[in-house]
Amino acid sequence: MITPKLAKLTLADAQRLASIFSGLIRSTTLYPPGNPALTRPLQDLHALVESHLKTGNSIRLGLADELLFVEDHLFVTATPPVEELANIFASRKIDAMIIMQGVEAAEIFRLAQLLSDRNMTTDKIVRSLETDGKSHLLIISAEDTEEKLLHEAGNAYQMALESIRSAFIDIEEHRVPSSERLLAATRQFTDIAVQDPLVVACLSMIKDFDNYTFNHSVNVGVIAMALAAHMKLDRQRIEEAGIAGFLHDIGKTMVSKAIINKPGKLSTIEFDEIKKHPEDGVKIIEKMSGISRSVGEAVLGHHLRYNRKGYPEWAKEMELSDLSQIIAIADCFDACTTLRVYQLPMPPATAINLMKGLAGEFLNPEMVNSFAKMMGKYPPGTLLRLDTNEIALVWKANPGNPEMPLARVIFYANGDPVENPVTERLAERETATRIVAVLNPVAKGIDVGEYFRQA
Amino acid sequence: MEPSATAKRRDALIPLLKDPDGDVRAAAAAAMEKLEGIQSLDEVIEQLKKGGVAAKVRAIYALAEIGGDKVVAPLVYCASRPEEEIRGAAIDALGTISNRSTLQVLVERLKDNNSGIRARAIRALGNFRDPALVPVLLPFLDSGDGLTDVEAILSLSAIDNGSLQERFVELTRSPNAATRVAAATALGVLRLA
Repeated sequence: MITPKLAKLTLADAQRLASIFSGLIRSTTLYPPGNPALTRPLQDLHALVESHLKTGNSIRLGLADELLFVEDHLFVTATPPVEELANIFASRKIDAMIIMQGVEAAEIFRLAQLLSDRNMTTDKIVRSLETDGKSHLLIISAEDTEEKLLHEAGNAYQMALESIRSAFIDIEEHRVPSSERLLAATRQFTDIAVQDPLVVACLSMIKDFDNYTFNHSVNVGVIAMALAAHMKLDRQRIEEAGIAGFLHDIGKTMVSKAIINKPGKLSTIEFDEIKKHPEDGVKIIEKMSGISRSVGEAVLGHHLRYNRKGYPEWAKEMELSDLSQIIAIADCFDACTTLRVYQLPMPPATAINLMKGLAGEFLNPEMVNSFAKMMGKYPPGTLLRLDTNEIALVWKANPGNPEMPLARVIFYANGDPVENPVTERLAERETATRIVAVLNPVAKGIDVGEYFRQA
Repeated sequence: MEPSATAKRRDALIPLLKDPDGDVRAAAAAAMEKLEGIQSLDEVIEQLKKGGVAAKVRAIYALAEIGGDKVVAPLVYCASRPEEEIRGAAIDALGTISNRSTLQVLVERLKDNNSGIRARAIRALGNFRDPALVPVLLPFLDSGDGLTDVEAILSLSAIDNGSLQERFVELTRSPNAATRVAAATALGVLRLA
């Protein structure tokens, strides 16, 4: 959300500005251009704006916690026109609009016309303003915020990946791994997860076959943080979930590489070796600075299973922490959706269905339900055929409309690949679009993870 | 260039994606996916030739999904590659398509140095449901490694006519839990002699 800045506009003028602008938007649908019912309020509005812009560089109006603000005035009790303007902004996902010095009445009128047209997406409004060659009106959409969050999350992902890689190298070289950068990345992720867990969750679709161990560790961490945030756990718990996820397999550094990299199932002896990794992990984590005890407990318990029939056997009587169970879910989802030498990646929705089957025995059923709800009907990484014959890749669930996620069209209707796919809200397309099928990316030779990695 | 027959089918199917009836839309989408699978064969084979290990593994699994006679030769070639990842994935894919012409290739892989690959070959051969494979797979019941014996139990239980019942009963006393699980499972599905 945009923080209102201090300005000299009076409350009465702020209210007048919002009311006239709101009325103008409505009137553009009722009267032809040039009609006094339009020109009169437009002149009034322009005069008001101009008088303020003599002393200030710009006027900012927008939404803060769903309430309209004009400069530093927040309308907690709004008049109907002010409320109408707030609704227009909310429905368009407009965070703020900035009116800058030099703005002309015609520009304001053009914007009112664009905002009154229900078929105009915010993206189109922005582009239309740019095409008009005017630079005195600026629209800041919530989608910009979303893109920003995605960008920040991508940076945190890189930082976490590098930290995990160096932690593994440290152990191989008999050093105590440093936790500083890992903790910093976790804090960054937590900032994002509390705002929008889905932005963090979609990063788990970044896959790297050649660096599976590091990539899997980071993915388990990001899924765990997203789920913890979705479950409304407190900030400290979200951070702990992330660190536990990042470090859940660190004990595997003590297992022979021949076993870790084996291209297939393991023999009993080999599996017995693997089963030591939670305990070995705790021993490593205990030596790392700044990591809480509950992280170690979560790592120790992540293979214990909900029914306590997992391993390590001696820990079966231990209390199974919520973090252990979150890590078990994150571990399962990432393992199922990743290409391995012995396994095709499952489509995310198939993996969630499989997890529902494991609920009650392997996994905590309430948490599985929470996870399924968070990921949505079409989880990130799902490939869709639209009724236009375009093929789109789901980027993020849309809690407002689960049937219509945020997606990137990656193939045009004629089958040609899209060079630079952009995220769009399928629900906001000019022509109503329907999802007709969920596709199998493998049969099409599509590496879904590559799209997320490149983004 | 797209063959005219395929182009004609696409042109007929695309408008059906907007049909008011949901069943029609679903049928059209399924048909489109099949057509695109056939068309993607050359592209997938290209990935197999030029891609890295991940791309090759993905391409191998894609060939198994596409199926048909044209995918057999590249999969057979991959099943003998020196890279374990490629070999293993190709064996899985050959098991999925279960084309009889590839039986000998899979039998050959039972001698692979890597036990993980041998286990995958046993599983792949199980898909052929061929009684002639019983003597070939039988020795693996004695491996006692909780891996190849497990795969052999599961494959043989799908092929055998019930003659192996006593062997499976014996294996329920194996020291390996995975072997006991497989033996118990086999006793549930094995045909009654």
